[in-house]
Amino acid sequence: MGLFDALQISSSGMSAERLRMDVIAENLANANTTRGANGQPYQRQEVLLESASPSFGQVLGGVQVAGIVNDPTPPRRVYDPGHPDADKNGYVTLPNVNPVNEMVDLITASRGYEANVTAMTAAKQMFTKSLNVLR
Amino acid sequence: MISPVSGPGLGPEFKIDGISAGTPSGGGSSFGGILSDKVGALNDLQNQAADQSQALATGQATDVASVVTTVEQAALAMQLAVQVRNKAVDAYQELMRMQV
Repeated sequence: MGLFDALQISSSGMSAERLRMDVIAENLANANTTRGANGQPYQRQEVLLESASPSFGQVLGGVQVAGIVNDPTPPRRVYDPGHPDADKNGYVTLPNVNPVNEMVDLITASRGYEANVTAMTAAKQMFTKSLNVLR
Repeated sequence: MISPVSGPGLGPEFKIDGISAGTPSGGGSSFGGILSDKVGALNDLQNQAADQSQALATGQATDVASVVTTVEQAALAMQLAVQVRNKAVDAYQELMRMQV
């Protein structure tokens, strides 16, 4: 347990929530992309988080990103024969992104970031309070 | 009869281990060595904070959270060092004021 472990851990949480927000923004931006990588419609992405292994001399390590994975749920199919990417039956394959789900995820990411900021502020205040004992 | 008073000089029970006046001992174990180590570590923290702040200002920093954490760490470490220094100066002044 060092002086600044709580700050480091909160910082790792803030980074993780920031990345979650980036990925959600990517999903929302590509909600109607029919031509993603490899010519397929865009696939929704999700952040996979894991607890980080503590470095030497520490007990707690915070959180780290294990990876960004694709969501395997099937894509939406919409009847739109005029669309350039429609198949021979007139159906267009759209990404499996549901904007409502993404908005809810956005709120949890934002609140999670706030929680980490609050924890960091509390740790800072505790440190300052113990410094006040010295004066 | 009154037993004779022993001569000047302190008995062995008044000797304090670890304090040897007039022989400066280098290295990290002496008070000066520890102080110098800690001031060096404090300086490293301040330099890191300055570097990260500059990276943020020039748009090279990708993670705002780590910049904020580094700057906060440097600020808190500086506060701690200032408080320890105030304590040391207080102790010195207390000794200087002492009536002999």
